Amino acid sequence: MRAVFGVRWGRLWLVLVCLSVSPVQRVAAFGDATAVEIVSLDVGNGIKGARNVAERLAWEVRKRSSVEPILEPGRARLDKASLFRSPFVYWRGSDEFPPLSQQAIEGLRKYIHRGGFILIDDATAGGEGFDRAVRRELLRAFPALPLQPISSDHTIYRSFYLLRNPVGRVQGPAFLEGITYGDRIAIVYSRHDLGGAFQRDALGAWSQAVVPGGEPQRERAIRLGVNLVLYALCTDYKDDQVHAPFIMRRRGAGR
Amino acid sequence: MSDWQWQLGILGGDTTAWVLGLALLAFWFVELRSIRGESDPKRRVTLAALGGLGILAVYLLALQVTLVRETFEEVAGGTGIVLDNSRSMTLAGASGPRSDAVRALIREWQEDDRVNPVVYLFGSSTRGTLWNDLAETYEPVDDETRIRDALSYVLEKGADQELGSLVVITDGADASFRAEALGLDSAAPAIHAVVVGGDDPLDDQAIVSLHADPTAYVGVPAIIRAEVRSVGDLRRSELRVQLWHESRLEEETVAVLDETGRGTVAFEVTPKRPGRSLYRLLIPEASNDEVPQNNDRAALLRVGRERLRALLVAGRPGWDVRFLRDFLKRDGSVDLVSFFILRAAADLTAAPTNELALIPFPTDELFREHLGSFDVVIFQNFDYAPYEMQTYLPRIRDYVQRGGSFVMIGGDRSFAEGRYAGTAIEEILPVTLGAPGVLKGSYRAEVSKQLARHPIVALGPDPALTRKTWKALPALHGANIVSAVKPEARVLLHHPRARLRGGAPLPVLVVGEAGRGRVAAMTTDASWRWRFAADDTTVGSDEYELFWDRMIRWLTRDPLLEPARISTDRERYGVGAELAVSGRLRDESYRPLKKARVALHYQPAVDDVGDAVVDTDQDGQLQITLRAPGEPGAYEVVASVEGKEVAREVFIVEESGDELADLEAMPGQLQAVAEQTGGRVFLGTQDVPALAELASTSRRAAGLVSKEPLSSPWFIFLTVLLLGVTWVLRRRWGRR
Repeated sequence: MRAVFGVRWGRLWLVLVCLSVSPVQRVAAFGDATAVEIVSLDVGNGIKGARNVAERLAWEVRKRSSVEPILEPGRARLDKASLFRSPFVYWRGSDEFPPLSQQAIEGLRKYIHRGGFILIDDATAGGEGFDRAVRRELLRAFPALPLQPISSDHTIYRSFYLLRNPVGRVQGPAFLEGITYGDRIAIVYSRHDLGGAFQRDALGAWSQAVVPGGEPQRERAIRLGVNLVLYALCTDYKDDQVHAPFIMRRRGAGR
Repeated sequence: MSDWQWQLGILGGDTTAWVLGLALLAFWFVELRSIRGESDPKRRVTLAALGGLGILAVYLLALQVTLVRETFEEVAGGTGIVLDNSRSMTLAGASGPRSDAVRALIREWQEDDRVNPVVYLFGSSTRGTLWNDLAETYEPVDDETRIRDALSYVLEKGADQELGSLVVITDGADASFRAEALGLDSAAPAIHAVVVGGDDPLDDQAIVSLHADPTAYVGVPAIIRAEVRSVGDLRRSELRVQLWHESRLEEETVAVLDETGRGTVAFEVTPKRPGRSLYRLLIPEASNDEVPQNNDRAALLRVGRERLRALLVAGRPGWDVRFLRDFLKRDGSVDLVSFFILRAAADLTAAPTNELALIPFPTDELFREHLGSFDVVIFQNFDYAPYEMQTYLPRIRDYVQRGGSFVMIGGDRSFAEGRYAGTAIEEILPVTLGAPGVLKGSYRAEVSKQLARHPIVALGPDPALTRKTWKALPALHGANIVSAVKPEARVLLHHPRARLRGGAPLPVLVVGEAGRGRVAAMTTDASWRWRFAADDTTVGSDEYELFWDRMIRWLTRDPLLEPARISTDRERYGVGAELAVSGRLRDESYRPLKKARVALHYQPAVDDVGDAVVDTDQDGQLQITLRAPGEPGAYEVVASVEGKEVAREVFIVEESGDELADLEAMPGQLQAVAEQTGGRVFLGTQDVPALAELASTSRRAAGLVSKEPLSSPWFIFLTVLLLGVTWVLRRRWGRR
């Protein structure tokens, strides 16, 4: 019974610690409509897990950076106007899914064209069903814009934390993939079960073990998640920082 | 039309002639067929020939051929004098000023009272004047020589006055004049030319024309190109050209001249500061240069930045920040420096600094060292207090008041929420802040009725369509509550329902001026929703970009977005030349200033030229001709309404201007005109005969002369004879 209580107390402490380090809950001053929201994409399955990841990612971003995402984000469908509630959509899946409706494909194109960002997260550890379906649908929506590996020197790896390579719950490939739309990466596809490293159970404990790197790998996965949110919000801002001194010198003082 | 031409009198014209001709030809073939049986070849040929000639004669009779010719007659015509009134006529040659020679010639002509010519003066324009006191009143002052315009005008007038001859008195210094451009025909009067100074070759080095990019950019090389020429004895001298800037000799070069004595020199200049920059090109004066005035000319460069420089500071990343930054980054005309606060003091990054891609906020570098280099500063949901920026706020205020621009965009860290009340920033904002407060909920911002033409919100071609467009835009969400709108500020967008304490609508976008700078307060952080909308039927993305593009351009005083603009017809004038000013004036709400009294004056002030006054028309347009200042230099013409300046335009006054730049007499084209019209050319005034000796008849149409040679009785008799002989011979030789 003590052991049982011990476990329960342990979990309770964890929750209390988390609460103590969480930033002061600031109510979005102008309401949720203009706040940063990591919306989960409902493509028919896996939405429950996606919402949990989106909440945890929002929480990590709020705790670690000045961004103040909504902590209880909503969900959206590609074929509904709800897709446009936020320019950041998190699409998590593990199973193959049937072809999207034409309306959903049109919604996907319009969403990206108008400035939206999608993080696609393959929750399997190397499974093929979801991967095959994702590639098929992205090819339908953007036949001229293939998924391509994202270089390790891309802004995504230095939008907040300095990272070298992508990791998630699993080691996965040594690169992320992405679709570049205009001068920004509009869709990022991770095959590392990034969200799996974020998930916690109802009492706040990590839901899944991270392999092979354990907790240091989990931290790196969380940092990658934060970087992806910051990239969606700032795009190549960090390149500006590099260029700023040069611009200053080139233009010279004036007026 | 001097030769005979024929016409057909037959009813139905060419068609009938063709039909009848074919019918008669067929009849002749029938006749030939009927004599096929004639055994005697001589008889057969005789009958065929006589028949053919008879039919031809009938055909010619039926055609009723008429010969027509237009005739002219010479009638006694008037004489016109077309006298050059441009400043180049004041130049002195070996025998004195050209204008003195002209006066002497006129006096000589006036002694002979047999001729009383009509007189036209020409230069910038052509107008009539009186003959009797011409010698006394002739004072050439015009700043242009337009021979073609003058002759076209006088020839058109002369058609009514039945002018028999025209005498053009000019120095011929109009390089653009071409004889063929006049389109002279045989009815033109005889045009004589007296080329004053044509017998006295000029010794002159000159900058004929000057070309510079109208707009240059700081740090970007611009080219000033000058066409130079050297005539007379000075052709043998070296032609040196100097570039001066701010009383400093920058560069000197020697022009390479072609066989006509002309050449081009080019100087590369790199402006260092924005604003207006005056450059002078100078040919050092030779002792025998007869026209030193045209050795010194000026070019005015309007120096801007190649690209606008914008500083965007955001209190934290958000969608409003992301969309605005993306827009500004895409805009090729903007150099964007942006700083976002990515991490606040309370944030727990769980990483040492060397694992973070963060740099300290370079407040001192931005707001002390480089602030003046920005064209616009944007505070987007940014609160200054956590970054110890109190000392920089007065600097930002001063920067704006000296001519910079500033916009604050809403959010929970802006306006009173950002604790700007009572700071130097509130001094420049177009609103007063009061206590912190925000308004939640969605709404569609409405355009203020009186300001629907303001370029920032004028999304449609007229106010009605603008209001309709704004109603169709995706809704906004939330707004900062401000205390009041400052008296001189203008509310462009307001909340449809919420009110300020005084009852006025809650402003969403307010613009105004602070010192010499411009400011805007946008109390919402949701304009990105115009760009990111689900509904295809609502307008949005284009309007978002148009709105922010206009906002930045208005703040940085893009001339195209100014409510009132005036312009001069040229950039350079000679001293005292005619200077045409036109423009369109609108009030600060961008409504036309109808029937407004506009005062125009020069800056720097000119003693001998007072204020000119002109009224605008129904559309706010104005047009007036002024006299350019008498001293060379760079000037501005300033337009004021009710004592308040509304627009200004810069121009240059030169000692020479274009009129004195290229003075070489060019009698060649006048010679061509004289040859075409039967006139004569005189180089100089020495050998010009009395006015009465120059032809004064005019040629006019005297009507048409016609004759019908085939309708004469002889031809009819011949026809009848042919037909009769044919008939008799046919009967005698046994034919019908």
